[in-house]
Amino acid sequence: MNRRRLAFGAALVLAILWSVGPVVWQFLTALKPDAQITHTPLVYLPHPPTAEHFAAIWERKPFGIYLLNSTFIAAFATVLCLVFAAPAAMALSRLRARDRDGVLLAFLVLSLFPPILLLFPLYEAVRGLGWINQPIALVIPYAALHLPLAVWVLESGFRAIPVSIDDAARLDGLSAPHRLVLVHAPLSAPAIVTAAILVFIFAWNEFMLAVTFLTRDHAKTVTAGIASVSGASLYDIPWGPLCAAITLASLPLFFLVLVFQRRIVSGLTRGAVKG
Amino acid sequence: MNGQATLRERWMLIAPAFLLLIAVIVLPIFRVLWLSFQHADLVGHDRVSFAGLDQYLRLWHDARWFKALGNTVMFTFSSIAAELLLGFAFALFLHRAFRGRGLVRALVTLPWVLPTAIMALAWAWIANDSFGVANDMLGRLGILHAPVAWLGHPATAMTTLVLADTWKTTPFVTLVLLAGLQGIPETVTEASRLDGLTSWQRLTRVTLPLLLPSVLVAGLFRLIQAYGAFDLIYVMTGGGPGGSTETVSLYAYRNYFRYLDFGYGSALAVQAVVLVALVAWLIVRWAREPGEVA
Amino acid sequence: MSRVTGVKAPANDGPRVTVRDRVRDGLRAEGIYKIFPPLTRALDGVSFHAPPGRVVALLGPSGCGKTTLLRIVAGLEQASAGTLTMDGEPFDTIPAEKRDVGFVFQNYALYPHLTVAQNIGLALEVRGVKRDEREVRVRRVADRLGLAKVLERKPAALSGGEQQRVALGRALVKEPRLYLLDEPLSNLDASLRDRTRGELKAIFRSVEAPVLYVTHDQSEAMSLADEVMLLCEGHVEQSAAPHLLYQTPESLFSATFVGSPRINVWHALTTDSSLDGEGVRALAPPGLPESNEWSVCIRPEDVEVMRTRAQGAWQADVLLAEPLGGRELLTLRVGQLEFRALAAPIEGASSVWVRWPAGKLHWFPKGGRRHQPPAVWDTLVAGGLLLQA
Repeated sequence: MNRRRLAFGAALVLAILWSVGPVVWQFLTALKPDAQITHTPLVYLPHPPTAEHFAAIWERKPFGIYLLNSTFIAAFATVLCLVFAAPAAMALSRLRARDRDGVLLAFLVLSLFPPILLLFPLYEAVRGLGWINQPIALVIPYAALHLPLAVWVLESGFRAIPVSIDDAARLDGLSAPHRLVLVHAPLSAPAIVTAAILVFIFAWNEFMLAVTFLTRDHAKTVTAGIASVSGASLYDIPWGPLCAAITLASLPLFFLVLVFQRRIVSGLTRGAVKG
Repeated sequence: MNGQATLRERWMLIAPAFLLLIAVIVLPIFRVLWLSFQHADLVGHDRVSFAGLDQYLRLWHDARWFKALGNTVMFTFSSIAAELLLGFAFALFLHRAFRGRGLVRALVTLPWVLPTAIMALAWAWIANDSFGVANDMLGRLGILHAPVAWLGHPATAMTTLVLADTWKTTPFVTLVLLAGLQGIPETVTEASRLDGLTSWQRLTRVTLPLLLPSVLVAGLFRLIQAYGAFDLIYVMTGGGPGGSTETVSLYAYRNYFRYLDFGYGSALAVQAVVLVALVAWLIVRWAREPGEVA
Repeated sequence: MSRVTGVKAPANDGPRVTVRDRVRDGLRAEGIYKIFPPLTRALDGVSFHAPPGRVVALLGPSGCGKTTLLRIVAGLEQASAGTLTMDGEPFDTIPAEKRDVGFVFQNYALYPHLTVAQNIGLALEVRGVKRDEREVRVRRVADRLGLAKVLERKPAALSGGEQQRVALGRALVKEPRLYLLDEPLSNLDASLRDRTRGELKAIFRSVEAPVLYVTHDQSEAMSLADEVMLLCEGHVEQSAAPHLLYQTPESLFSATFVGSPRINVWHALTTDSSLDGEGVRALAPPGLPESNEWSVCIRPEDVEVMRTRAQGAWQADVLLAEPLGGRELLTLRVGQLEFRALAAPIEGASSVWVRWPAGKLHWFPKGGRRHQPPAVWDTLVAGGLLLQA
């Protein structure tokens, strides 16, 4: 019995190491002075830790602007996505099961098309509209690409609201937008939070559209900005500052997943398990 | 009448979402389909002209496409196999009740929420030939006697990519399978215990068959995602060395933005979707065969 | 033409409707159908009139369409055919949000995220009633319903009875054009239900709008309503004041659905001037067609029970005697016919003498409406229906 518990504990430790090890390694590297980064045999723990790389990234690259751009674009895309998804989810949650499932399935199928298929026409549109290097070039596609997911999550939240409460609100004279704001939103706050977090994460992480539509350094998001160093040879990359940047770009997501783990897990599996 | 008012109200509520999806997804799909039947490039043809099936016929004579297709299939199936195995193991751990399970679940979920493009750099650093921690650890364990340039050789580059992708997306498989495990009624597991099945028999005779739908769902989602994988490969190897890790997504991207051959790029993107849809359809059909749990 | 100048021809196409009447006409429904595809007729041509200040109970077994009818009136569902008018104006073209009805849901449907005061006041708020007036009106309703102390609580912190009253308050505060109540007492326990029924009656007496009250509980309908509309499988079986519904049921369904304990039914065939069924024969009243199937009904309290032999009475075995305080509910048997009687206690007697007074009988031909035997027959068989075992 004890041996089994020990084995289980060891397996858990391995699983955790596997999951967070690569991130922790970036953090450790970022804390090392250059001499220790390029030392063989490898120095595992920085001694003493240094913050010089964390300081350097703000100077070498407009890292602060990347972060601002990512935050702004992801937040704006999230709001736009929810504004479009919530009314649709509200209407769908009151449809007959067969009609509803048909529409939801259509949404799901649309969200499964790989971005490479849409990339070029979207690029043509963005260029035609003069939106290259504009945040809106990403905000609208992000909102649309994750709309199906948001509708799925919100719809199952709204469906849990008893129909009679919806009816009561109508008879109290509340129009559809009123009901959405005064009844549906407060009653399914968890679903809204879930949808918002997921859309935010996806928008924050997106790379293909960002690297294609944003060419000016000051317009770039974190992913496009950091990953664009790969254009050069991987062998003369300043790994210290890069690891610092990787750590900083991961930090918001790290906190999101710690705080909202339950929401993220439920939102992530809901669509998959139902389908 | 009031019923029609309700209907109109519902349409008004859904319409914005529909319009957004049409503008950003449906219209581009038609555009790319149309382009794939055109000569449209800034190299040979200075004007767009109808090409019929030319672009698709080009695929048959394009050795690079066959190579990219092979790479894509290799990448997709290796990573899915690894993810399903690892994800199943993780799900079994997380299904047990223990203190701090929430925290462990959060930590195990972490790779999935991190940006792929950035974590691709992180893995490139781990796999770095001179200062990478992979070489160092394997060396200390006595597995490697000389450092390996992981991303410098075709076979190791693909292995590294698969490893990084497995790391990144195993959480997704884990969580789907975990939800599936939690959907198996406890009484069923208890009944199988009372029937005297060993824990291995319980796993293979009871748990796995009941989990098959979840495995299928996770596998299908991953098939579609891995088949279109771009970020990881673009950042880690850029398709190299020597095109050994170039996937169809990457090849299509190159045609668009490096060779400026939009017609061929479109045909590449379309065929990728058609092929993966075909495979997905076959899998779903196989799963729906009578007698199978679906 | 000049001959009629200045003279208004009397309207002869129905009752005259003056402007005043129209304003106070109440709710009228004409030929309401509701068909659920493919072929389920939930409502099969229902018409009724609910005048202002009157309580109309929609009574019927579950599945009879009463709740569907209520939801159509509220605008929550759409009728397949038929019209609704309110005070003479079309009602069915108004969307539910604007119909201005006070609806009390069976499960109350309170807003779980709002306090009692907010629950009651929300309708006023969206109508743009000023905060001061809103507070006054909410407080007035809360005082009346005994909710003043719980105004700041959320519904989850209330007892079932309090929740029910909040639901009622939400309807009352609007001073709506129409009250609709869907089984409002069915989720309360028995003692609370009786008390609340009394309170409801007092409230209904004071409101000026029509009240439609859906229930499957006939005693609730009888005690609260001015008019009981009995629904059966989507049509109006009978609509009448409670005592009339009880005294002169128009069909076997009406007779058996209303009244507790249930009315006794004897199924008999007419042969030669007599009735025959379940091992019992009796003299048939004149004018009954031959070989026809009849249901002869009598309420348990109308059965006469005697301890000794009397003229025209027949002997019955006592199968069961259930004491109900002052009286006993007896289950009796004559031939194979079992029936019940509500009578003075018989103190353990194993057989009694009973009589079915002719004047208290209800006659229904198979599948048909009430039949009234000629009045003279009553006197002919003064001793009651002559049963011969």
